[in-house]
Amino acid sequence: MQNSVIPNQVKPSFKEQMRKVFNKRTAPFWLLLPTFLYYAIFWLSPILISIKEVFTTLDGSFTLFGNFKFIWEQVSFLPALRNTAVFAAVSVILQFLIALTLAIMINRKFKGQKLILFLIMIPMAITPTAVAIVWKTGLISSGWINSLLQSLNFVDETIPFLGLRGLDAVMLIILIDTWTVMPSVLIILIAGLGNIPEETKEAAYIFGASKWRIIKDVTIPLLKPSIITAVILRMIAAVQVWAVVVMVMGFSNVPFLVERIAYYVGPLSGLTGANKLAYTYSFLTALIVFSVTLIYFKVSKRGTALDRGTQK
Amino acid sequence: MSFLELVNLDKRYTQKGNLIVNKMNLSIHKGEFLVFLGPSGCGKTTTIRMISGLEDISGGDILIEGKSIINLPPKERGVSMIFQSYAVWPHMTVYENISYPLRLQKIDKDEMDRRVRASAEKTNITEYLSRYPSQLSGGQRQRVAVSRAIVVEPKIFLMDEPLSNLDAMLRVSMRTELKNIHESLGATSIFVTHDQSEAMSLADRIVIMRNGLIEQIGTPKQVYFDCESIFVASFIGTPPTNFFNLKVVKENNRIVIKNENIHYTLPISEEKMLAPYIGQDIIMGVRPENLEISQSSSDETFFVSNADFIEPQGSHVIIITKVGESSIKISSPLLDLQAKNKIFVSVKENKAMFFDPKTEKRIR
Amino acid sequence: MKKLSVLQKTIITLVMTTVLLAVIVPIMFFLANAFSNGTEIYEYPKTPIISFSVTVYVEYNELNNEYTVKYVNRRGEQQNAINSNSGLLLSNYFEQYFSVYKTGDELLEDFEIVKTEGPKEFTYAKNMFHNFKTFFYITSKAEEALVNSIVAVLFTILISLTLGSMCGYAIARFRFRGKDQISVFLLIVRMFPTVGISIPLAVILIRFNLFDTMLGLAILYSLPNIALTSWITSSIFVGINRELEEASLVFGANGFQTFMKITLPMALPAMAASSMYAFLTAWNDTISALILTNDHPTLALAVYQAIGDNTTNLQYAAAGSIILIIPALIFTFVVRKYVNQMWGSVSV
Repeated sequence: MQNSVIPNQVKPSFKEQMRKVFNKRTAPFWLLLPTFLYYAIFWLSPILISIKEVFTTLDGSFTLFGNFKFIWEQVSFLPALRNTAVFAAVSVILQFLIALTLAIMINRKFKGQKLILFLIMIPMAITPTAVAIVWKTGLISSGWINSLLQSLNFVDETIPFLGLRGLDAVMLIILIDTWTVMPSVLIILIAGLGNIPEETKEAAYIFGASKWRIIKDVTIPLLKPSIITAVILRMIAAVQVWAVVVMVMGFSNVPFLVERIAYYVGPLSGLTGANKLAYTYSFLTALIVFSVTLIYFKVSKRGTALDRGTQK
Repeated sequence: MSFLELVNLDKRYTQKGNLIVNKMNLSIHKGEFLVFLGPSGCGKTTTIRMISGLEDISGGDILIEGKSIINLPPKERGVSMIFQSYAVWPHMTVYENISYPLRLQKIDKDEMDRRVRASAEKTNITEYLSRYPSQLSGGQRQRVAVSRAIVVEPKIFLMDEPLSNLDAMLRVSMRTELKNIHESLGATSIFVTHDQSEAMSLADRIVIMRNGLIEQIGTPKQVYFDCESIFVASFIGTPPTNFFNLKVVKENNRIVIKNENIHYTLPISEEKMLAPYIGQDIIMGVRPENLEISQSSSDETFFVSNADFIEPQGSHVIIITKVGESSIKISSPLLDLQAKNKIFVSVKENKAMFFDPKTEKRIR
Repeated sequence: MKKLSVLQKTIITLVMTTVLLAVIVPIMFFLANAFSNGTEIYEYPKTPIISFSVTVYVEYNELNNEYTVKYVNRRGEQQNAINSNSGLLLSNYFEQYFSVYKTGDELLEDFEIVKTEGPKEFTYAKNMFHNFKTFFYITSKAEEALVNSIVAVLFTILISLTLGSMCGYAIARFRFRGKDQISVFLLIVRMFPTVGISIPLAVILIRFNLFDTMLGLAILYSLPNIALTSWITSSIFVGINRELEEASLVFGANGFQTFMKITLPMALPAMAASSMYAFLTAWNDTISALILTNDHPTLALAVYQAIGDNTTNLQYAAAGSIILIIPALIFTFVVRKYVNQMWGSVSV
């Protein structure tokens, strides 16, 4: 038996040749290859093009800061940067606090829990364009918000919401944004709460912790991975806000970073330099989002699952 | 000629990694019920996965009826398998689960239906054929897995710890059923387990493995009473074999094995075997039921001690005592023995096993 | 531990009520607006209840031989609407401002009685589809845009699910070098803002002749969704007991059959979830569509372009929004149902 295991040296059949190319060892390569080609063509090369555009002048010669100087000189740049920053910070904090409170309240079993959850989730299913219209019909002077405020006797005269500018307008957009996306934060937090074993809370209760202490000392620390996930995902989306802004307030009235991009590729497309500005704005936005992602990575690496709970 | 043959079978998961299975040679006869027994990580599951074709081999060969099968995909090997988790597909009904292998073989509908029903009949699950696995209990799911495995009429029946997820009662009844099915089909079965009572009750032969090596191949009786190595002696049996570190000396023309507490005069029939070890250390192993207790000293007395604890087991008692530093367990029919009594322990004749302390192998 | 004090219960009830009102009230007003006629939309203050009919007060003016039609709002107040004796004018006015579809003859016939019996109120049923019809009428290419959106969605789902599930499977089931780096890379792609890609991608799409096509848009939408799908599916694939696949291999299937018949069906919930995200990306986007199309807008873009920064005739915009929302709701609902249909308690 020992020596007889010499295979016949015939030409390998087609089947065997196929098996040589497609086997357990090469399988991951074949499975990943299409995606890699896809990303090389449609993701990496656009990024390279955009880097090239940002660092060349209109006539194609290299410039390190030329386009950034160009963007800096635009009147709307600083307000756009400020508005975006304020919007991202305030909206994320506000949404997180509301969602956390609701999540903890909803997480206990009670009658009608599912119905309430369903109702709260509705705004999430509404397309952003439609959200803008929901609120625009409210914010015009004869809109439903003024109707409501006046019929409840909160105000005597109609408030010209659409005339608001600057940070007031940013606050208004934060409220609209919160209405829309708070449910998505809520989903992540509720999923996270569901993963916390009941015993951990009961143990704290047995050792004499009050409900508030249990929330503070057990629930929130254990919820940390979900919290980080929710906050960072929201942050990334918040930096990219624009549609609601334009549709409610109009172009250029309350500038934001991505609103500027839309402005330069939309109404101003074709104008000399507009394209450059759009490239530079999108480069800056990508840079900011990318940094936020990196921070997310640094934080989430510390023993947390990558966005656990976002799937649902 | 043997039915299934493993020749110098090797397995390593990475190129320079440890050998999970090391130069394994084994031949299995047609119709045999073979059990691979060993602690977790000993390579037993890897071995049957190599036989099934789920795992590539790193060296050696596997032959079925003299033909090498190592280059065949699982479906061409004529094997069938029952998995530890049952691997019953949750998105198919019981009927679909059982008929799936036949559908892959494109067997005609009536024939398929007949075979599915026949195999469901054998495992008593006919009434659940239209249900989904989630509606079944663990034991019923297990039957579905068995039914699916026998429907293909395999040459070799592989079972990877199929009973380990069942509760104790079911496990015992299920193993009787498996054995019955094996016999009624006349199949060749290989069964992997780490549960020795399962192995003992099912096997025609048991293969005891450790660290990728076969420690012993033998009938249940052989691996219990006639251990090839210290490992087998300690792994098989509850309580396990008692071991004594002793020295072989010559006293009054007889070979005596002793230390400061223990004294054993070797029967003359075994003297030739231990002659080369005179003056050397040796490990002596005695099964708990091969130690006898008497109330008085005699020539045969092995050691003298106190019965520290007594654990009644119903039909017998387990006496726990101490010699020097080592704890010794004795199985005795003396049901009314009192704790703390002085006991005189002797060894039943020819029931001691001797092992070489260096190789840990049995001295024969 | 489970019991709450009365105070806590009150606080919770209050908070919940506030939140629910904050969610429901805007939606109710929005719906009322979407079904408003051209007169109701300018009424102030507004009511959050959809009206299905219009009441008019009609007088006969003998001097000019014409009818004076006054609109009666829901509080019973009258507003001047139109003075006319022409059936055509009346009919047009009723359609445009009241969403009431009546021919001139029908109206004149109804009003005839006023001549003899004096002023009278009439109530007509509104055509609830008026705003939707008008939306399609005034928004050029709205029908095409609806089809475009569906096509873009289908392409996006197809690309993301195919490529994404292949990646997910490779990551979940095989050990290979550089696996961690690949996961990191996929996460970066997922988080990278698509706006940043859209403008330069236009250059590439033009080269491939895909600019201003739905496939071109889907290519962009798939960028984050391939990564997302591979992440979602890999976590599901990891959870599917390997023995289920091995059983299939042992019983005679090849790798591909096993994937199609065993692995994929069990990963359906993950697929459903992934396709939902793909759907939402493609359906909701406006900015990328704005950048990557010229003459072939998606529905969201069409709605956006139709409304622009108008503040008049918002009822048509609202109707357009409902057209935009409904497919998203249906899709989410269908997928939800599928996800819920999962096979009970078996640990997959």
